[in-house]
Parts: sequence; structure tokens; C-alpha cells
Amino acid sequence: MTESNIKLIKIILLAFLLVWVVFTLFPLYFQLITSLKPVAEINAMVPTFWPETFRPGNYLGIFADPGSLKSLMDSLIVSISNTILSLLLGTLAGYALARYLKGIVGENLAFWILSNRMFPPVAVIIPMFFLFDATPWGTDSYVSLILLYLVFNLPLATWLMMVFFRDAPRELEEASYLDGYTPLKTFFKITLPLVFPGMISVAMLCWIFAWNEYLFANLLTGTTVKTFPVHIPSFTQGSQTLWNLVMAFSMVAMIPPVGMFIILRRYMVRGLSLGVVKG
Amino acid sequence: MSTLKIKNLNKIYNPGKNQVHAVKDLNLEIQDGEFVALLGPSGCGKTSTLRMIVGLESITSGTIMFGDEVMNEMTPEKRNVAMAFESYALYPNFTVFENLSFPLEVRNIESTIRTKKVNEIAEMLQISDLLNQKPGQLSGGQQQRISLGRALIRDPAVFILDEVMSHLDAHLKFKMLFELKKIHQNLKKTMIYVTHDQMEALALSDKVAVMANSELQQFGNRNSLYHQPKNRFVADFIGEPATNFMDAEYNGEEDQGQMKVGDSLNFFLNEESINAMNNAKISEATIGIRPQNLSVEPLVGGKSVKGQLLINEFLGERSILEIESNGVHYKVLSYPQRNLNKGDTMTVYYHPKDVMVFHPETEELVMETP
Amino acid sequence: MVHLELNKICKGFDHPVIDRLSLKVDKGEFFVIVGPSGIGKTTLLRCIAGLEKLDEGEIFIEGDNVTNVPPYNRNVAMTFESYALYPHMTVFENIANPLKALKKEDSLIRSRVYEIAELLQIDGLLERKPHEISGGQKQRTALGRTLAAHPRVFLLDEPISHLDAKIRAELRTQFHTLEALREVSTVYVTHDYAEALSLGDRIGVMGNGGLVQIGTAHEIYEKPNSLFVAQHLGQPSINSLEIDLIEEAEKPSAIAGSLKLPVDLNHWEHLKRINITKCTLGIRPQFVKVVNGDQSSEDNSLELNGMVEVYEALGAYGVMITSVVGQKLTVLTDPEDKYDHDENIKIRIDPSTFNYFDLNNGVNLIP
Repeated sequence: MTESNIKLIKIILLAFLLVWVVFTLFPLYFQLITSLKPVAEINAMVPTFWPETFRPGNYLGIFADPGSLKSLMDSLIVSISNTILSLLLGTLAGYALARYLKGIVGENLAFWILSNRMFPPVAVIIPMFFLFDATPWGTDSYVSLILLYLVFNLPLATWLMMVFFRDAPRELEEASYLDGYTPLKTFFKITLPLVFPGMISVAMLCWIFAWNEYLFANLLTGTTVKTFPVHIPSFTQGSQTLWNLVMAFSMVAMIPPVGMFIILRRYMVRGLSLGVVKG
Repeated sequence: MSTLKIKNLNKIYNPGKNQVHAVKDLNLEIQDGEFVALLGPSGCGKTSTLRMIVGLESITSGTIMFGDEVMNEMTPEKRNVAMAFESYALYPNFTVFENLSFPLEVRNIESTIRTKKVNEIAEMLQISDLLNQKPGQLSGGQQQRISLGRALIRDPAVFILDEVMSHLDAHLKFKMLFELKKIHQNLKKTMIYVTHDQMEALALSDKVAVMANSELQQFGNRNSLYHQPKNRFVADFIGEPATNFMDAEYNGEEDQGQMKVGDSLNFFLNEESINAMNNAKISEATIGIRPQNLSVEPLVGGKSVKGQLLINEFLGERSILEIESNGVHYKVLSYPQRNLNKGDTMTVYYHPKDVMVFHPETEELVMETP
Repeated sequence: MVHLELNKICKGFDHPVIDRLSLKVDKGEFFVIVGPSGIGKTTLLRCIAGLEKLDEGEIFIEGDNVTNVPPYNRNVAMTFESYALYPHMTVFENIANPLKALKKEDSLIRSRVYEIAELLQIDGLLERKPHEISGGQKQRTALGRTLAAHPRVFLLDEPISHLDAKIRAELRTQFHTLEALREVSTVYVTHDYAEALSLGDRIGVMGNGGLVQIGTAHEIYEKPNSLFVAQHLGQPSINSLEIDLIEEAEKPSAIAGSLKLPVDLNHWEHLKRINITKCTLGIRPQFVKVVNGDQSSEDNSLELNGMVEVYEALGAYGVMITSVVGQKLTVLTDPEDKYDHDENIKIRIDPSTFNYFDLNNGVNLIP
């Protein structure tokens, strides 16, 4: 392989990368410009790729609607509670699976727990409605939604945490026992810090699911509790969908997950190098 | 091919601000049939050098010649170099036979000839009975042999062996060193052996190229590396147990050619070193004496120093005695000593010719310029 | 005074890794277990530490039966082959960890960590994380962690085998001089015989299931009780030849192919008494000498003609494989001598240095 050949390959690869970047980032770009356009421009037959008139006021417009803020609040409450619960239970269960259930039993159990997540949600949506309707707090409540999301997030959290715990060197725990720490203290002092980056990743995944979920939220809740995906359709007035408001609201709704990711990203990367014992 | 010539070879990674000068002005000439070791600590540039010889890395400046042919622009497959890797790099889904015959298959060699060659090589490496097994079923030593066999089968101009022993345990490594040396004695092919282990390098090679900090420090056989190390680095890197280094003062001829270490410890130099010291006009230097050149038994024509025994370390075939003289510690290699105990007063003998003197600033061996 | 006692401990039911192993280690003793890799040395240490449950047997420390005491209450410290330093803690915190477990006062912890760090020459690294220090420094940190809380037993698992030769030699010296290790008892595991000989007050050579021989360095090296011990201790390995023993005209000899070697009369007395005609002859490479020029022959030794097959001059010694009447012998030589392959040489062997091992079970036949 000569020098010029290598250069050519580099250029081709970079070209592919460029296509890929355009493909993935274009929707985001279009969302942004749409959120800044007036309604008339959105409905134009030939779409504009740069707003002819800027309407930053769209952003103020969505908050004129009192439901918008409340729906964001509701989403925060549900997502945060669900994430904390998933993480708490998933971490403990994952540790138990990783350390105490080895061999065929543990392997199978872990897999079947995860298979929960593969179940098509549509199949259970009606039974779920009746199930939660029979509970004291009814369908249209925070508790119901949080518990329901747990059904999907907990298996994922458990399974991922189990994988992280398995990768955490057992010897570090043993060293800690010999230092004089009981297994419980060792878990908090040594093991948890080792899988902390994993926990961050799991938290992100759970949070994003709970934040964006629409199907169940729409069916179960809607009055007392109304998460933002359920609120979005209210920007349709008659036959007219106010896309600019939908996009502006979506932009606002993206801030929490994106912001969280930017803050936590560095812990996720750092985790990869922490697993090393030797070297 | 007759010789492998490397002239003013340079390798610079990421030219520009953060450039890494991995190989600096390397000159090396390896004769046909020679076994040469490329020795150095990690990051010394030996791997970059090797990769340039093979053709896996471009050359920043300088030339690599096989015989009279310049290799700089040749692709690896045209250079006719065979390489065995640290990680063995055997194909796990092939049998041993298929692994060995693969390099020939790639070159469209007839199957009858292939079979014949594989059998020859397998016999030489004593792996004939393993030919139908897969690498996964074999021990580290056996895999190592197959990896060597795959390099040997092509009959290339140069063999390159990259840290091939570093994953073997000590006993097996010791055995393999002899087998490899025997293979070289039979084949009489040019071999370049890359390693960080000075013991392997000394054991196998006719000549050793010691590299450090991207530069060649010294190129020579065991005796020259051992007795005339160019600088302190070579003296320290080659030999185990490590050379004893001591900071010493020299007051010209009034001390009758003695190096004073601390207040009361003196080492005599031989005449050549005295002349060299007088010429160099330095009053301080580091002296180095190899533990095996110190003896607890009297030496003919030797001088002596006195000290206390600190540790008598019995290692089976020999003992290492750590001795202290007025706060200065040094090690002596001796036959196993049963009856010496901590605190015993010892007389340690040496030949003045074995006292090496290193320049305090350049750290180079102070020697008479011819 | 016995400090650590293992009483017929067993581990592993189907393939016993440890089979009824008993051992007593005295207070202040540095006991080294040496053996090939995969033989169960680490398992033994883990049993003593309490990280593995015994299948049978008992362990006593200072007379207390600790067989069922969990590791965190045994007050036993162990270094792991992988060092097992806590990656999220600094060197200081790593060393302080056992003291924190004991809920010691901060000021006390601080002074103890500084004391240890100074002793191990890592006092400049206390604020670094494990991934920022070299292998040798990691090893010292791991050692510091085991020393910190004054444990009752030190268990060291291959502490220096992953380091290069120079640092190994340095750390060996450290182990020789660490007084703290001499206050209680230490069990040190290694596969490197030189390390074992260097460090052990007593050494146990581990074979399948247990300790094959226990003794001081000189005892096990000079009087190996079996071929296994003789082969494992020594580099290059002991020469072993299968021989027939015969006696002609009052002169006993050992025959291997067409090589005929005399048998020392003291040895012959023993061999004759147990009526052995075939056995394995062991000759240490350093007891085979190459004769240079016309050195006068010593009594009782024998000169033979040989041919150099391979010769390697290393730093402190040279190693030669020579072929003597069809038999291959490894010889240790002076590294300053030079030999070409196929060169004819004379070697001298002293029959009084020979070892004789049983052909079947490898037991040393000379008591």
C-alpha cells in the first residue's frame, strides 16, 4: 500500500462520514429552523431551508399556554422518580445476579428478566389500563405511570448493571474484605464507585425512555397528570397543526436530556479506564 | 541478499508541533546470516525500526537496503521479510498444517511442494505430531513454535522475531532460547530479534543493537557490551544483577590512580583508565563495577576493599552478597556461600581493569582515545 | 512458637487442588511456597485468607481456630498478583483503607500512612491514583496497604513476578530488610525458584495436592527429595538421564546408552542396599565443568569428550548444551569463554555430586 493509496482511502472514509453527519443532523436542523418560522412559511409548498422571517416569539407563545409548563413539570416528576427507582432496584438486583447467581441458573434468569423488555407493549396496554384502574390511586396518577415505566426500565437496568458488576474485578472486593470491611460496606465503598460510570449510563437510558414515552402516558393519564408528549397534540387547532409551536416546544423539551448528557458524559467515558486493575 | 543496511534512518510521527521523533539517525549494518538483537526498554524506538524494515511504517528519511536494493518504497509483500509476532497471530480456525502452509498457498505454490515443506519444517521444530490439531488445543510453547515455523517456511531474506518469548514462563523460555539458537545454526539466515530482555538478547545473538531514547546506544557483541559499554545506560541495562555504580572523586596522579568513593573506599584503575582520566581532566566521575567482577576469593593481580556483609542471598547456582563499606552498598556475585552471615567482615577482590569510569556529565565511558 | 497452623486442609472435591495439607509457620518466619503455575498456590493463600471455604480441615492463627471466621474478621493481609489497588482512590487512601476499616482516628491514620510510605519510598506519590504510577510503585502501594493495619499474617501472592529483573532484585532486597514482616508470619507464593531461595526462611515446594518438600533453601536445593523438586529448582534445569546400574569387578557404574559413568561408593552403598538396577540420574549443570587447556585432574572426577551443540554466553554465566557419547548434557560455564558449535571439548564430572531418583515416583534414592 503506497502513501497516496492511504490518502485516497482516508478521503473516501471522510466523505462517508460527512454524508452520515448530514443525514443524522438534518432533522435537528430542520426542527430548529421550523421552530423559528411563522405559520405561513411552514405551510409554503416549497420548504425554505433558512427562515425568511424569524419568529423567536414562538418560544414565548408556547409558555402562554399554562399546560405547557405543567406538562414539562409532570414529565420531570415521572422521569426522575422512575430513574431513581430503576437505578436503586436495578443496581441491587444486578449485583445479586452478578455475584451470587452464577452458572446456568443466573445466566437464564438474567436473560429472561431482560426479555420482559422485548415484549410488545401494545399487547398489554388494555390489561394495564384495567389493572391500574383497580389500584387505589387509579390510572391518572404519578404513581401509576412511574410503576408502569418501571416494568420496562427495571429489567434493562438490572441486566446492564449485572454486566457492569461482572466486569468489576472481584479481587478488589476481596482486597477490601481483607482490609477489614464487611461485604455490605465493601459494596458501597469499593464496588459502587467502580460501576458508577455504568450507573450513569443506565440512568441516562432509563430517563430518556421515561421522558419520551407516549403510548402508555396517553392511554393511562391525561387529566391530573399530563406528560409533555401527551401535551404536544394540543398544539393542533382544528385541521391546523401549529408546527412552529410543536417544534419550539420540542426544542425546550430536549434541553433536560441533552443538558444532562453533556454534564454526565465525562463520567461515562472515564469509566472505561477505571476497570483496569493491572497495567 | 547479502547485507541489510540501514543508513541515517529517521522516523517522525505527527510532524509539526507535537511531533514524536521515534528513531533518530539510525545506522546499522547486518551481515548475511547474522543473528542480531534489537534491544531496549519500551518506547526506545525498536518497534518503529522493525516496522520500517518490514514495510509497515513509512520512512521519514534515510534508507533501508537489502543488498544493493533500496527498500524504502517497497510494499511489505515485495520485501521478502518474514515475521513472527509477540501474540503468535495464528489463525484459530486453521489446523497447524494449514497455518504453516498458508504463506505458501498465498504465493500459489504447488500442493505437493507445500506438503513437503511443511513436513520438513515441522520435523525441525518437533511439531510433526501436532499437524492436524487446531492452535487452541496447544500449549504456549507449541503455539510459539508454529508461529516460528510459519515465518521460517517462506525462506525469506530476513526473519524478524518480535518479542516472541515474552509470554512464555521462565523454564519454557530458557528451553526455547536454545531451540531458536539451534534453528539459526542450521538455517544460517539473517535474523533480527526484537526484545526488551537483555538476557534473551545476549543468549541468542551474534551482535546486539542497544537502543534508548530513539537512538542507537551501542552495536556490538556480548564482550564489547559487557566490558566496554559506551555509556552508563548500556552498562546498567546489560547484565544481571545490575552493575554497581558509585560516585567517586579523582585527584589526578597524586592518588596513584585511585578513585575515592566517600571517605575511605578506594578503587584502583588500570593504566589505560588512568591515562584516559588524566586526558579528560575531570575530578569527579561515576565508577561502575559488575557484581561478577567482584570476588570474595583472592584474584591474581587483583586489589581489594573491605566491607560488611548485609545480605547473603542464596539463589541456587550462585549467591548475591550485598556488602556495605562506610555507607556505600554494592553487590558481589559469588558461588553459593553457606557460611557467611550478616555482619561478617569481608574482603572483596577485583581487577583494576574491570573498574569502568563514566563521565559525570555525558555519562559516557571514559576511555583512551586511540 | 507456632503462629499459623494448617491442619489437614482440603479444597476441591473432584480434583483436589489441596489434599490434606498440613503446615506450621512460626512467629516471625518468612515461609515461601514455590511451584509451577496452576498447581494451586494461590488457592492455598486464599484459603488462609478466608476467601475460599475449606472443604475439610482447620486453620489456626495464634492458636485461635479461624476456619469459619470471615476474611474481614481474620486480621490477615494479602497482596494480589494483580495488585488489586482501588482505582478510584489515591495511593494515600489505598494504604489508609485498612486503618479506616478499624475506625482509627484521622491523625493516627495520617501518621501511620506517612510512616509506611516513607519506609517503602512512595512518600512522593501519595496523592496519585493507581493508574498514574509504575508497576513497581503499584507493588509498593499494595504492600503498604497490607502493612498498614498490623495484621496477624501476611500473605503475598506473586508480588514481584510481573516486574522486570532490575526492580525485582530491588524489591527482593526490600523484603529482606522489612522488619515489619518479621514480627508476625508471612506466607509468600511464587513460581520463581530464585526468589524462593533468596527470601524463604523455609520453603515449601508445591506439587499436585500439597507440599512435596519443606526445608531451608540449602536443604531443598542441595538435597531435593524428588526429581520434581530438583527439576523445579534450578535454571538451567537439572540434567536427567535414565540409567542402568551395574557393578563390574567391584566398580559400580551408571550406563546410559553408550555413556558410562562411575558411581560414587557412598551412593553405591545405598543403591545396592535397596537393590536398584534402573533409575534416573540427576546432574546439576553447574557441577559439570568444561576443562580448559591442561588443568590437572582432581581426584574422583572423570573427564569425558564432548561436542558443543549450542552455546549461549549470558551476563553472569554461560550455558552450553553438549553432546557426550550420544547423551545431551547442559553445562554452566564462565561467560567469558567462547565456544563454537561443533567444537570438541573436554568436560569433567564429579560423581559425588550425582543424584539418583526412582524411575517411577521420582523419589530421591540417597537419603
